[in-house]
Amino acid sequence: MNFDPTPEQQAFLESVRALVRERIAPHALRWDEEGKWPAEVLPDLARAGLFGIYAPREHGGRGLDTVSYALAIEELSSELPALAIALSVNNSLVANPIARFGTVEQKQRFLTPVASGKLLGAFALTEAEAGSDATRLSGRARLEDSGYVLNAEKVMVTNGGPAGLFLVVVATEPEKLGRGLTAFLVPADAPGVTRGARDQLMGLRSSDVRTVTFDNVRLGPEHRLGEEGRGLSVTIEALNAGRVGVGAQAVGIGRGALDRAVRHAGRRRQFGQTLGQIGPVQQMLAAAHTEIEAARMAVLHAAQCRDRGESFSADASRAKLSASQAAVLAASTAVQVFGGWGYLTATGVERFHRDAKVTELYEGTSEMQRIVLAGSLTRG
Amino acid sequence: MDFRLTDDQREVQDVTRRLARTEFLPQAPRWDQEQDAYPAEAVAKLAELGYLGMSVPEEYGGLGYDAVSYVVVIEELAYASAALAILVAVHNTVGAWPIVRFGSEAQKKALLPRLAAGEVGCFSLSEPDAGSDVASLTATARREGDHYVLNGSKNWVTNGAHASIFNVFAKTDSAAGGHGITGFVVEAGTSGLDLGKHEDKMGLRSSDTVSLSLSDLRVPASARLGEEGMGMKIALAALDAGRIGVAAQAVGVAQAALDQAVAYARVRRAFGKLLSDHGPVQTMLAEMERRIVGARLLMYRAAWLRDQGRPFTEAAALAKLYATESATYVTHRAIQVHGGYGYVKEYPVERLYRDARVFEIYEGTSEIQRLVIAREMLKRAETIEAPAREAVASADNVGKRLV
Repeated sequence: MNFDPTPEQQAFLESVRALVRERIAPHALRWDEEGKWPAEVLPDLARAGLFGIYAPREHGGRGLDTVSYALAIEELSSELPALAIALSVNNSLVANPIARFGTVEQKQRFLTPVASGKLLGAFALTEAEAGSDATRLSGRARLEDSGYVLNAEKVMVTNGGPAGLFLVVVATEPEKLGRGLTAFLVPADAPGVTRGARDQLMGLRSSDVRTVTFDNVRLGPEHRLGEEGRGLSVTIEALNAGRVGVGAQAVGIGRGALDRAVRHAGRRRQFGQTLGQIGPVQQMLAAAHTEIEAARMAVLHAAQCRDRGESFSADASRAKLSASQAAVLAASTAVQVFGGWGYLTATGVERFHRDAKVTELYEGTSEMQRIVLAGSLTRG
Repeated sequence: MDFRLTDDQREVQDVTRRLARTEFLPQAPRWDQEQDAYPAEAVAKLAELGYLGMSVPEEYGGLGYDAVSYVVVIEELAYASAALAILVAVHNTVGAWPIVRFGSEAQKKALLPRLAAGEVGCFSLSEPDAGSDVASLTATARREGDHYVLNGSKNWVTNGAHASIFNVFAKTDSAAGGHGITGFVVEAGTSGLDLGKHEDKMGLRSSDTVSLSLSDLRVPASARLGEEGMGMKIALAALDAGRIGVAAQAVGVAQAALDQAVAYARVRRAFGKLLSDHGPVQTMLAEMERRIVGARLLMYRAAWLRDQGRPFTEAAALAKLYATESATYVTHRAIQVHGGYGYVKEYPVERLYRDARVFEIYEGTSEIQRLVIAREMLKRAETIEAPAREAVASADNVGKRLV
């Protein structure tokens, strides 16, 4: 038993912390307000290995573990949650399934640039009429001559604009539902790939999220990731790791919001005392912090399960479920502690309140996580 | 980073689980329902196996368990019987441990082997009008030559009716507030140490809770625990450790309630399908489970920090707060899953619900835990220099963006 990071994990965390402090924190509020995709900082993040934290070194990754990934995502998220999800998607939803299911050639051609930050990855699963129920996709790929022709309209694709590679899941045998899905690696410059306008979001405004359409995109068989019919396995592999990342992101949101609230509570005086000396304020700060700490434990636990090669689907769901609810509570609490000032964009806490909400929605709503978790209890 | 138990700790868990579920669990309903039941045989069995010496070093006849092994044991005992678990927890953390940590060599040699062998210890700090506010206690200890003379009223003494050894706190200097409190080790049966009423409680019914009156209770100066004025420090240190034990108790009870709810949901049918296939029931089970896992990890972390000799006050408060609130939540939902059957004594969940209710109260209420946590948060915030990016929310500089 050891609750401390290993020296390697600690050193990595400190390098990320320094990067966040110097290159991200000074700009985060403005980037959010302007909805600016933080392109200028991406080369620094690439040099730090943040695009492939647990991807193998021989394929451009940093070769660390899932715990390191969770620590890094939390750290990024405590200042700019939008950047945390951009990287989490790249690491877990794109690099990760290629590392797991890709051929040697696919790893060389796609994983190396994605994991090293040369090519940004995006994951295209959700459709207008297929969200949580991902087995009934209307996107199709059909085999023709020596390749596939892909047609799909994918919505809410995180990293959709700047992405250089899409991992797209569509039906190859629709009547087989979940067993008829197949995953493809689609370069963004393939003919027939069109990106819609950027979606306007409640939070994570620096995120680039949009609809991407695939119109008769012709792909050689070397673009198929995994076997035909294994698209659901690819999706589950991606989302299990992704949920650890969203959990870490949510912990970072909660911590970022609470750190600001606690500092404010220590300085702001009312009725002749600081807010931090006022009982009800203390109670709400501590209540939110407690939820965040419990959630961080759940996230790091899930990360460890993954690192040991154990089945960690329920652990990942639990981590995301706990952390996303904790983030919403903590961010709301932070605004409350700031009072009216918290409602002003300039004080830099309301953005966490807006950002937190989506952690209960994407990569599986809280309702879906509860189904997974309950299933692990009542089956078997 | 590795949150798993070591092989030794796992072994302790396996052995204790087997013991608790085969020998104690079947008796828990009887202990709960019989008036003034006391699990004497279970205590004897636990003493024989060494569990009453978990916090006593081996050189004094104990097992010398680390804190993680200790919480593992308390969780497993609480799974079977929360009343039995609190008896063992109080005995070890606030009974024996203060003597281990603050006792003189003579006190350790005289008392610890007895406690490890099965004489029960207890802790007497609270008074009718002084609970969380320790500094305001009014019991007095007056020095008279080689003795102290104690007077006052004490409340909520868990294990009081069966204890041999009492750790009693009183003021040696009434003007010094918290710094005037001193601890004493008092033997049961000493003249002037009178047991008062046996509380009739909502839960933990086979755990005895008594009031004490101290009437010119004379104890030798050698019975003083630590120095004069150290009492509050001793008491608070004992309670830090005690809080991890309460967290463990809460986790054990919550796990028992969840297991009952899952078992019920897997056999009971409604509207043509099992409860476990109904979405709203799944929602409850998932929310119960995630809280228990989070609580257990926070509990392990607090215990592990203690084993590392590192500060663990905040970690213990976090663990106790989260675990006890989780136990409240989980036992409530366990009844909800059972419907009307949850409300009758034939099913164990109503007992678990009653037992769990006190966890948010004793050894520091949830409000006190949040106070402890908030103070630590504010202290940490002072040490972090506010980054330049922040536009401070005050009338004179709001809107001045510093980036």
